[in-house]
Amino acid sequence: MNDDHLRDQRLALSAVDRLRRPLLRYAARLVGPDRAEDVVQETFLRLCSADPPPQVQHLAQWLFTVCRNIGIDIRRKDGRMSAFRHSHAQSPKDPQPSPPALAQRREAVSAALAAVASLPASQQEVIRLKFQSGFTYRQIAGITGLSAGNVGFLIHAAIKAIRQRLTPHAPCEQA
Amino acid sequence: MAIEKDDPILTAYVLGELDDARREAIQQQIKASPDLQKEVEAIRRTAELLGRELAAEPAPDIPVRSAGSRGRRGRRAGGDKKFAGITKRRWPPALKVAAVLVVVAGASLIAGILLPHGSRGIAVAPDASESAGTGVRRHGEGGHEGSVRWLGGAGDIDKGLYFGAGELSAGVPTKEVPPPPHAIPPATAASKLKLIYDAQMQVTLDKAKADGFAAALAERVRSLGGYVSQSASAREAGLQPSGRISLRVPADRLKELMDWVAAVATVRLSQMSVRDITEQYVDVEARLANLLAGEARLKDMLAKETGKLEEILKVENQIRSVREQIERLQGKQRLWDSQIALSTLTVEYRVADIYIVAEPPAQTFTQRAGRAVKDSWRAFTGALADLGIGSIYVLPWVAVGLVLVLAGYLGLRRAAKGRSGGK
Repeated sequence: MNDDHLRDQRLALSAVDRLRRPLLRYAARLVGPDRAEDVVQETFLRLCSADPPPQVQHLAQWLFTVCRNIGIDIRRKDGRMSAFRHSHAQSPKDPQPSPPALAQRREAVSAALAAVASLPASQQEVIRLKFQSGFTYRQIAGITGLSAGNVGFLIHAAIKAIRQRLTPHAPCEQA
Repeated sequence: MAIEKDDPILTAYVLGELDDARREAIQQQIKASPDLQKEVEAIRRTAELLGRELAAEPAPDIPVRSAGSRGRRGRRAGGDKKFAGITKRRWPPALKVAAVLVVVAGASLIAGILLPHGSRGIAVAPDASESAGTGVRRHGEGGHEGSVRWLGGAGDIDKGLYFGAGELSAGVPTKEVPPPPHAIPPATAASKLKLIYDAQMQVTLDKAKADGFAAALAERVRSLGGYVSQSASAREAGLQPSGRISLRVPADRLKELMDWVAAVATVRLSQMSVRDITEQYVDVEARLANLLAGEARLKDMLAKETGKLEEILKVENQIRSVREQIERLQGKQRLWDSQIALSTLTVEYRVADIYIVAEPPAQTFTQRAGRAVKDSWRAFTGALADLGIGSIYVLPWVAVGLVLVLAGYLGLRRAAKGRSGGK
């Protein structure tokens, strides 16, 4: 039992290392870059105090679900019921990046990303959870509280909208 | 069932979200259709592009905090849970309870001040057409007794006074309740959600409108392409007429029908529930496709079977079993299609109660003086009667008491005589 516990701990720690950056990215879209660290910190605190702890194979979904709930609570308290945020490439309070970094950033924002950023909040969220974080429909349904059928419909609608938007940019699709 | 190009199941297939059985069934259909193959390829290319681009997307700039940083808001206070930037104050349970009680008490006090009270009287005329006459009824909180004039008919209602102060009781709402703005997504070719809408409304009507309401509602729903599935009405003595109608109406006309009801009646309750059966529907579709393909293969097998009778019978049994499952699923699908196409609206209606304030009749001085004399004489004679009854009550006690006192007196006197005679 002790060995199992130690092994689970090591797995959990490695999962935390693996998931911290994706959680930060997800939280930044929920509450903004300046609060993302707080949300992720609170998420891991809740992991430490969870009783019983989540199973390792469901750890990622559990962490994203808790992170989302905390983010929504914060937005509600702040009275900001705004939708899932669009891309925050730069916070207005952050210092100006250096010109090479700015140029690099601009190149990176492709037509596909612009198409994703133009989607409604609900579609953006599920698209990112699917293609950035690699969750299945069922896991995304567990995180967002939607049904798996709804998630499938949203992803289908998002991909269709992105395809329609990218059609003039044929070279991107052929890449 | 044949898959269309715009079916979300194709995206689920490309992204590997289907189980083996369903994937197999979809694959068969894709192989047989060049259009579907093109669509699948386009979805796959877009999914790969998204995977690449989103993986390479630069992360938002997140400010780096030092280990000792306290954040923007926090000062640690006793009992506060703090993490950097956000302070959560924990209130002791007793304080929370006290706060709730203060809020409730304050709200009650404000309601008590603002809402009118001390009704002068209420006359209930639940069915004004039934009877006319006068009677006495206690009303309201003041306990004032007075005469009540029952309504004799519709004309008297117009002359009557309506107790409009606040919410006297159920039946006469002071303002209309608008139906919630239920948004029903328009049925478009692109929408593949399978939604079943069920709505309920409770309304009150003026007596004048009540008689024709059911017929008008039935006519309205027919004009919208629906029908009345169930209708019942009740008219009990002492109660306002009421009824209940269940309607089936095309899903995209449901809101129109609810708006029409709200326009002709006063809505007291309006609610709608939506069941999303997309997942089950897609599942049944896939299972049907599988079973139909299986049935076709079995029929092929039967057509080519030249072996023993036993083998032929086995295949026929198998076909029969598969056909039963197909028909069961098709039945379920037809029921769902019907429920999706036609939403259900249940309307419960009743005639609004009318409340009349009873005005005590005005009296002259002579009448009041005469009434005072009568009341006083009544009180006087009542007091005398009470005194007489009280006397009768204490009589046995007085009699027994007298006997005891007399016996005691005689005994003492005899004892005193005996002492003086001895001297």
